[in-house]
Amino acid sequence: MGHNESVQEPSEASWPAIVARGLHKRFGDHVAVGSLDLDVPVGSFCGLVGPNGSGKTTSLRMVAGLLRPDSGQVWVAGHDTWADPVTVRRLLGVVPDPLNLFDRLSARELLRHLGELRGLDPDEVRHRSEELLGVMDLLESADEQVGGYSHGMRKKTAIAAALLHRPAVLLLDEPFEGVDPVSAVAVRTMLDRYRGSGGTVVFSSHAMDLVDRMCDYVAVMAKGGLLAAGPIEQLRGTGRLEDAFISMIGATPVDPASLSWLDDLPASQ
Amino acid sequence: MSGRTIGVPRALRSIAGLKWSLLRGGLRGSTQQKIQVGLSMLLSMLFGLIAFGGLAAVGRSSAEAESILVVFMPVIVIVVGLLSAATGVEATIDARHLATEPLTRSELGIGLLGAAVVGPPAVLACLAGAGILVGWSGGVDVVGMVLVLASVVGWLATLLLLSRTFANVLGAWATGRFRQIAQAMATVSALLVWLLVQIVTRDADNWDAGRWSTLADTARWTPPGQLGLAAASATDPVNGLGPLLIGYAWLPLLAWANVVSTERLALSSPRPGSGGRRMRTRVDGLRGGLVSYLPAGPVGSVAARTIRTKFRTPRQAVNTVTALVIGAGVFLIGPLLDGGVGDDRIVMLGGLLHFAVLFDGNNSFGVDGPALWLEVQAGADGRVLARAKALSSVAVMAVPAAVLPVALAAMSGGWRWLPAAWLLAIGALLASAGVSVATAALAPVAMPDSPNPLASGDTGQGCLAAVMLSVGLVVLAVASAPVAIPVLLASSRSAPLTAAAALFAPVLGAAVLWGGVAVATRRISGREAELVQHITPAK
Repeated sequence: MGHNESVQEPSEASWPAIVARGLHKRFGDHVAVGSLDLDVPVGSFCGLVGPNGSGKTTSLRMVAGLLRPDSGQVWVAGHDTWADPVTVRRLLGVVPDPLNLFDRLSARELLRHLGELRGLDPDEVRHRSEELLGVMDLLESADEQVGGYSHGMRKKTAIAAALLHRPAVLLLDEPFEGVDPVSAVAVRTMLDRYRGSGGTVVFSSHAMDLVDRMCDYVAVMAKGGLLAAGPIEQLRGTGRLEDAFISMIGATPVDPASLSWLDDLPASQ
Repeated sequence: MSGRTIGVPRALRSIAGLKWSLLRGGLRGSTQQKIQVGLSMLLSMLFGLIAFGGLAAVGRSSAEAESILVVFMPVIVIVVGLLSAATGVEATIDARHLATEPLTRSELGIGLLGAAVVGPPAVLACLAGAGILVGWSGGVDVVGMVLVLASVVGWLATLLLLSRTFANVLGAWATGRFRQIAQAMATVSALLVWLLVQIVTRDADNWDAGRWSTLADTARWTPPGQLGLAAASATDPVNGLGPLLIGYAWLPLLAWANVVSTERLALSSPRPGSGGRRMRTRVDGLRGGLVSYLPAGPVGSVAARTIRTKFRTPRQAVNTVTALVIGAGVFLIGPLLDGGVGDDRIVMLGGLLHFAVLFDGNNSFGVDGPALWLEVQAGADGRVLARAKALSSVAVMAVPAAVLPVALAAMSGGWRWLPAAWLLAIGALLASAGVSVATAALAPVAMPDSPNPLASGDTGQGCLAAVMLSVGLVVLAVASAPVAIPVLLASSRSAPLTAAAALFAPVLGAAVLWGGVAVATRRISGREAELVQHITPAK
């Protein structure tokens, strides 16, 4: 796991689920992701963690083919995201942030529409849709327009849409944010089952305990670069993942002497 | 607590400065933003200079100068008010984005008025005002000149206050209980302007002194009409003082209404889409009804989704209705205003919905917004998207294109022209769909998150859309010539011969459609991610 400027293709015999080499993205003067190299093993549950602005979302969007990198390459199951986008899209299930769903479709309509676009058998789409909507506790509102859904319901709809075609790799940007605890358990169970059957999950999160509990592989990002990546036991050592994370990114605790003006309430209060 | 606020002058400076920064940001932004802002400045200058020259010439040389000014001032106030209501609150800084700032009602209202003064429309208005000043101050003394200047300033203030108040009221309504009424009013506003232009230009030859005088007798009863009267009385300032005071008298009331409506708007919910309301869809889903006849597979699926979301989204549905009313109205307005049809060959014009198809579909990717990524991710590549958008355009306009010639035949008795009319309609529909999908792919424009059905978003988006629409119409006019000329010649001989000449229309239409889809496919393929980024509105 290096930070090489040059792109080094992995050997085709052992393609990981995701390979990124020299991924670089700049917005104006700001380097969002700088020369990212990352391998995610097949069948892993990979947590992508990092402070705000570390480049997690940008990286996931580049892997998913939603954002073209300035330089570098990405392979999903051995297929180049930008040279063979249709194959990669078939292999991927994506829940981006922000979600951006068609607000004027119902969840049921959305799933059936995406099933038709993916060329799935209509009966199979109907069957899978109903099961996914049931597991996500969305059956009651399945014929209501998504625009009227709460944030959590929208998130669950997006997760269902990402799973519908049983992708080889799932990319989830903050999948549990805004999802109620009961649904979160259902989603976790579903993801565990999916992973158990050989699927690969990559998800970004700020919730360290969640990553600690669910993931067997972790990639830590900061300031657009990859600080570390590997099996979770290796990264956290004998302590907690959160402590290891803070130590890795070199965060300094807030100086109690600063922000002293916060102690002075305005006179009118 | 007054000591804790920043005060009106500082609020004015701050919010107007914000608008200036946003405009400069546009000029430093993407190429499309630069084109938008540059184009709006250019067109504002161009139209402003035309208004300046026209008004200066009329004021100096026309025998009806007084009546014309008395009519012009209130009419422009009404037109600008209606257009502001139609284009929405996002055209300047949205008051709702400042709702959490510790600003008093006056600071917010006056600050936003200052922001509205910064930008291309103000350039146009000021040039028109300068034209009035030059035109109506010829040969008057200093007092007379001051009177004209005061009238122009009062008129500009009226324009500003009324247009922003209209936009505020409709913007606030569009997010509340009166959402549908506001959306309907925004549409009606746009259509009223169009109707006004039709009526005025249709009867241009009959605009003699008597008509100007009659209209001025009515217009003088309005405050802007009084300002016009004051400016036209510059040679006799004493007589102009009364009208000037009457013209200014309602400005405090307008200012109060503006400040109150700004506060209402700022405190209204900015939720887009369905506004959080739960709305059920039909059980038969996307493929129910007429849409079920679209072909199976990705192209038909995206086309079906496009049509469903179009008619479920007020902004898009209103756009389609407006496109149809204006597109079909071009041919129907004459018979309706005149009370009869002169030439029964008008039947052949009924299905020529070039404008309607272009107006409705020339931003067919932009109206989808960032949600289009879902379809891209599910495998819809550039080819599928381009074909689907063209198919949806044809499907939406097919029924009106078939029915309108029948309506005109019923009005005129020209049933013999119906076969040719339908052939021409098919050709027009196919060709327009081709050009519209090419336009949509070449210049996709992000739509703002707004409940306003006609909200235009960033500065210059409307100008860019208008330019693309005009280019599309020119392309269609040139492409249609090989059919239009033979049909026109044949129509002076017989209906069967005309139908025979029109047989080429569907062939030509199919060729243009093929070309348009090919252009769009080439433009989008492999760049689907960039397309989605283009149509994602800035936050």
